Amino acid sequence: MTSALVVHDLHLAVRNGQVLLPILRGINLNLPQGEIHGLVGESGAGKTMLGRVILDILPPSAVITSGNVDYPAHRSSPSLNRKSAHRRRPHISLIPQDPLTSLNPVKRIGKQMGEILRLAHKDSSQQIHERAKQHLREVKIRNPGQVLQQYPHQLSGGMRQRVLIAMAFSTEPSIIIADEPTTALDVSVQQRVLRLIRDLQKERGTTILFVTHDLGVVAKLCDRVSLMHSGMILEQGKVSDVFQSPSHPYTRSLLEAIPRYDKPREKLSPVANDLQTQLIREADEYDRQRRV
Amino acid sequence: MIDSDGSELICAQRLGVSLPNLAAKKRFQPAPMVPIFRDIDLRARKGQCLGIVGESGSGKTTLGRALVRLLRPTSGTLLFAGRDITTLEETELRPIRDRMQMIFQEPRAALNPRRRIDDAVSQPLLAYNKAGNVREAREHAYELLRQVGLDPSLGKRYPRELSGGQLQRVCIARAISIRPSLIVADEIVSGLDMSSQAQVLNLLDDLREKLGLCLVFISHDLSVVRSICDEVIVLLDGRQVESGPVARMFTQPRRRYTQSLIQAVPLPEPDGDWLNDAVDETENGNRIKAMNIEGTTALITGCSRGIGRELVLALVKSGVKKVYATARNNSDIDDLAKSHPGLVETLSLDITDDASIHQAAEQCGDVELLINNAGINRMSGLLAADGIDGARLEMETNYFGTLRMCRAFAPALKNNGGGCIVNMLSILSHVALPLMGSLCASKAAALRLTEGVRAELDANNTLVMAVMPGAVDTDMSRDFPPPKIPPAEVAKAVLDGIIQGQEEIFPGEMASGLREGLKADPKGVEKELAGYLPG
Repeated sequence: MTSALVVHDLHLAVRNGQVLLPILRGINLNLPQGEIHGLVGESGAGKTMLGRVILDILPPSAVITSGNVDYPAHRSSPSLNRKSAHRRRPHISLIPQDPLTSLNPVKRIGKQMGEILRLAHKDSSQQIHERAKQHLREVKIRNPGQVLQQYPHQLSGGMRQRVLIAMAFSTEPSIIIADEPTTALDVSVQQRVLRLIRDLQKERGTTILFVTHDLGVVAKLCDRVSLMHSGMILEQGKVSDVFQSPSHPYTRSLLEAIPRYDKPREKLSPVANDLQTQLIREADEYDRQRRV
Repeated sequence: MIDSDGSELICAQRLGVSLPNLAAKKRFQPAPMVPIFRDIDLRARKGQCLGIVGESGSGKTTLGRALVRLLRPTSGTLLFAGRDITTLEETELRPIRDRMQMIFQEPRAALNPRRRIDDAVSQPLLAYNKAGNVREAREHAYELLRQVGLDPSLGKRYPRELSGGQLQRVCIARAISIRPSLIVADEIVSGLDMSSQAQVLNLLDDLREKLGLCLVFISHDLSVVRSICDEVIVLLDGRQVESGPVARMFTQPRRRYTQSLIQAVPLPEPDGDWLNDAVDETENGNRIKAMNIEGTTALITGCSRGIGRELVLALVKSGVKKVYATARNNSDIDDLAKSHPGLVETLSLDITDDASIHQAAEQCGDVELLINNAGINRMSGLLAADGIDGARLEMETNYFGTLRMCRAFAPALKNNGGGCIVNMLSILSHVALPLMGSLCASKAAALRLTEGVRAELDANNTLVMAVMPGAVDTDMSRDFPPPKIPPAEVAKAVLDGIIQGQEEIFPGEMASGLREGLKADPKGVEKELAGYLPG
């Protein structure tokens, strides 16, 4: 199967004064077309940074020290100027984490969707409006005409996330980075939103990198999974394999930390401090060896 | 008055809060009040953890705020350590304020960004005169930071320099600083990743044990609730869906809504089909009262034949725990018990006899689903020869019998979490068919009875359902001309209605057709039926 996204030995650091702090340490990813790939890690593991490299929206202080990101299906010329992300990577979209801060609070939904659609299509306002309506219908919004006239604060959390999903799919991307899209939602809404993402993905063959810290969601949604800690991928494989027989102690430890409603009450076991320290030490050791 | 034996630290009965809806306010007029939640019953002892679960918008945060009297309840009673604090003024509350604390969802917003950590933690100590001077308070603050597993050197930092998990521990340290007896924790782990979540939950659980805290834990994540709580109440749209001990709630949810909340939690086990179970919120009926039939205990009257018999069979198939099948003559239903040993228990019950009903109510205290199916039809007009005695007989069974059963079993249902009452009526509750005029009168009375009972049991969350079929293919309507629906179909419609929380169902084409007709042209239907006169 053809690859949609290849990340090869990616190293990334953030400049802090005179020093470069390593954030990503040799990331390798190969996502075939149409895969949902889970990217799991605690806060600070570098998941969001990896997503930003792929989207090419790195902050100015971040430097790629080696390695590269490649899209075999869409080899476009490398970006030269800092224009909007869409023009540089028209085949990639983002579903962001927080639907409230990701939408402009003083613009109606219709206007915000129009801005994106106008980048992809040279249509009249009327046609853009119709397209926006169509995209909202695809995410199971029952009254798209009304929603287009509303401001973000008038919608519920689940509805806002649906709007963002519609926006992400509206440019017909081949790759979508979903950065914790359901963390802010409650369980039953989360289930519906996940199903929506999965259905749209299946219909269009989109490749999705699903960034999350919730292993439960990964188990239900993803084909393969990568577990990250301090900028390194510790374990990678098919979801069925990783969950059944995790090979890395960190994966085992994370799985044990999850509270479960189907088990009687017992003390939870958070990832042990020893293991955390050991992983950080390994990361430092990695940096030292690279410098030598 | 509240039935509290004083051992509870916090006890609420029929608690409710309404807040002004400023969006709907008109100029020069007070804003209309909207109920945020109502009729909430809860109690928690020292050392106990009570979970409050619900989706966003269910009123759980408002309830938490009302429990520590950040809001004044607008109805019901709230007791704290045996004392009524429902309407106390702020000055009267002041002496007990140091015994209750709240931890908020967003630690970054709950801490002053310009105060150092040690300063933030020592503030309550100073405010409640628990420390002699600032220095003493600071020292105590460092001790508290150590107690929640933080490095005391973090005390000199500002909130922005700490991670979410660390900040949540700071908030916990601040909450326990004045040794409260009640802590309300509102979604305190929803912003944390799995590992910090486990740490914070363990910390809270340890503190509860060590300090004998009473903990009210608000969350939408049922897995988290299971791992920390003893008792749970589930909220939906400001109403209490069900409550009970955590183990029962998760293995044997009584309400469909609770079950759907549980199933929506993704367990870390690969399963591609789980997503297909997602349902869009288009269900009609009453989501609060919709019942989970699996694992319930049901009692059905009039099981010797027809709909009653089919109901027993349908219930057995849908996974109930136990069915009490009753009939006037035990011998008519013996075969039901024999073919489903341990599942169906037979009982002789005459619903026109008070003593017989009381005995049954005592014997079957575990009933959660009561189906009043027994009834008689003499196929007689109101002015027919057998006169008043016959009409009385029908009234005695169809109306008074149902009423007796509702009265006898209402306390048991309340004890068992609300449950459900199904009254088997007829479309003839709505219109007179002269052919059986005296039956129609008794069924119409039973319909009003059903509506009255529904209103009286609303606060208990009891689903009270009226089933109004047309002609059913049973012995009772032997002489009636077709179309008739098979009794098994009525039984299926009843179970579907219970699962969806329907309050009225009209099984069969005849019933639904007549109902539409009655809506459009009641006089026309009356005239049409007037042609069927008693012979």
